[in-house]
Amino acid sequence: MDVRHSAQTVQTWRDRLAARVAFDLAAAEAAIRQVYRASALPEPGQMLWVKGPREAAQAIDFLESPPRKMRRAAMATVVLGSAAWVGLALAIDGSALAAGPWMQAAISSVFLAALGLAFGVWRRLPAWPSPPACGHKGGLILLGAAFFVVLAGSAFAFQRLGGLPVAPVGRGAVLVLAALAGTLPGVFLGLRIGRAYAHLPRSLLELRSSASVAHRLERARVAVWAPFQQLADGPQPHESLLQAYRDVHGEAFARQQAGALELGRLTRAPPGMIWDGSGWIAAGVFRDVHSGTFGRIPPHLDGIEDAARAAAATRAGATGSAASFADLAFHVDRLYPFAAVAVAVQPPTALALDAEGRPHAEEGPALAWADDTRLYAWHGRVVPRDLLAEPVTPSRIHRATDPERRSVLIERYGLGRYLQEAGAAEIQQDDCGRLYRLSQGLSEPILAVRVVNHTPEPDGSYREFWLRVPPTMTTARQAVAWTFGLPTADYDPVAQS
Amino acid sequence: MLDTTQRVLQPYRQGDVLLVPCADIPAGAVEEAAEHGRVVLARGERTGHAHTMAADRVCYFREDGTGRGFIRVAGPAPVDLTHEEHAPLAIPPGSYRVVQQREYQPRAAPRAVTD
Repeated sequence: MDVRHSAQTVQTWRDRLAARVAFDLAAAEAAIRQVYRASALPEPGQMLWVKGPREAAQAIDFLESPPRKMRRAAMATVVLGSAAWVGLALAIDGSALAAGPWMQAAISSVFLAALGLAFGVWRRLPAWPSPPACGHKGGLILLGAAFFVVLAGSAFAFQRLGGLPVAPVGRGAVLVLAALAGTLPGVFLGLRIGRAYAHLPRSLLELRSSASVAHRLERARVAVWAPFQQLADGPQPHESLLQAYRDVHGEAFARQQAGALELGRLTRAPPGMIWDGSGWIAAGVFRDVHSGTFGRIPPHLDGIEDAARAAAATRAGATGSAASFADLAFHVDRLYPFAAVAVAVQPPTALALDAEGRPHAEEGPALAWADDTRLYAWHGRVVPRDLLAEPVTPSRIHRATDPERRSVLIERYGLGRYLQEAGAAEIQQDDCGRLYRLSQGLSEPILAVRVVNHTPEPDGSYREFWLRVPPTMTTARQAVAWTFGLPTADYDPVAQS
Repeated sequence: MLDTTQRVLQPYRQGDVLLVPCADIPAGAVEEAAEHGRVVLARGERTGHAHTMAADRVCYFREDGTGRGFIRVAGPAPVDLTHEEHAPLAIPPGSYRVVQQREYQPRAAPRAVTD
């Protein structure tokens, strides 16, 4: 293989995953068409580009409740509303009231059904492509108020008139008026729906079905990448995972995003707020970076998730189907494939990684998309923004009961500084360094080895390092050997600097 | 002067990088290209400092599947391993496995140390 070429490919992938490659719409759309063709599927009629995960979730919400369905629901609201008001008119009429309580119960049911339907439709109104509508709650209150005002006004009018007119013409006219009044909330809802969909392309509005083809694409992808998968799995699964991180970054992280999207939490962000992923954290989706179980897999193909294999495929100079999936992973952050429409997410605008390729940023978000979705991460562990934003104090560390939160806080504070201030005991010392231990109540104790650089600093002093080691270590030599993955006996450097 | 056998068996350390001598480079390892005439063994996260060697007589390999790094230093003379914060370390000809120092993290895979 041409070494120069392969290094260039790896570098290109690194650039892509560090968000240093400009988004290329034409190449991305070509890649999407290619994978549909490679999976023996007709090309999608429509491609829907969204700027980030939140917009993607909104767009999928939209596809799940297309305009046709929503308009049918609005029509039902109109019909039920009319029925409720006509029923009301008849009930207030003396003769109907005499018919007994069952009549009142029937009218109440119809009225409540209309109100419930209207509420349901209102809540499902798509927030895409605009940010989540600010007027969600306000609109609901307005809709309920409209129902109430029209109902109360009609009841008052009928009572003033002393029931329905006796003459057939007058009686008919009043009933027609009542029916019209009953349609008002439904009409209001219809107008709102019209406005929500107004700026969408016509082809999208006429979508009849958006049936997912994810499973077919998934099968094609698995078949295409089986050889690369074997290559990546290798004899030592843990090391190979590390390799995947190193080369192309963050597979587990991408999977977590997938889990979060599935929960549908993205669409419910409070208006006007920068969405920092804390909803995902609250849901426990991000608990364990290395977890392999994510429940049901949503209908999407994830670019970053596939990046390891894609890079391997590119590096091996693969052509055909493998190359098309590699292109997809390169150009598209994530694809939600449907038969009629492909929802595709543009790559993130910022992606900060640590030396091992895990999302990590000490200040600001580790991942950001153009739709204001931001994620904060500490060495691949998604954390709430406040864990990184606010200054760390020893008392804050003591208050943190969760060991993971606590370890992030200790790292931010400085491991050596914390151990010394908290009174860690030196339990052993040899020519490799000093081993310290700090008990932490019920949690596992912190063990750290304190080592000194062999090369003096320009000012003649020697720089110190504190390295956290497993709690089973008993000597500094054993601890330092562990940090290099060696048995104690094998660690004996002939020369150091 | 150092005993030759001892020199073959014992590792070399520069800060967070350890070079462990090995008999040969695994068959599955793929050579990676040098960057501007330097072979980069490890790069610092914050500072951008790196452990590097002149590429003239040094080749870097990465093993597919495991991700382990290896170097081969060709003779006749040792090649210096350099880093901005450390004194140069002369590495004699031979094959080495490149080990990056790691740190313990509760409930997670160990993390690499990068100075």
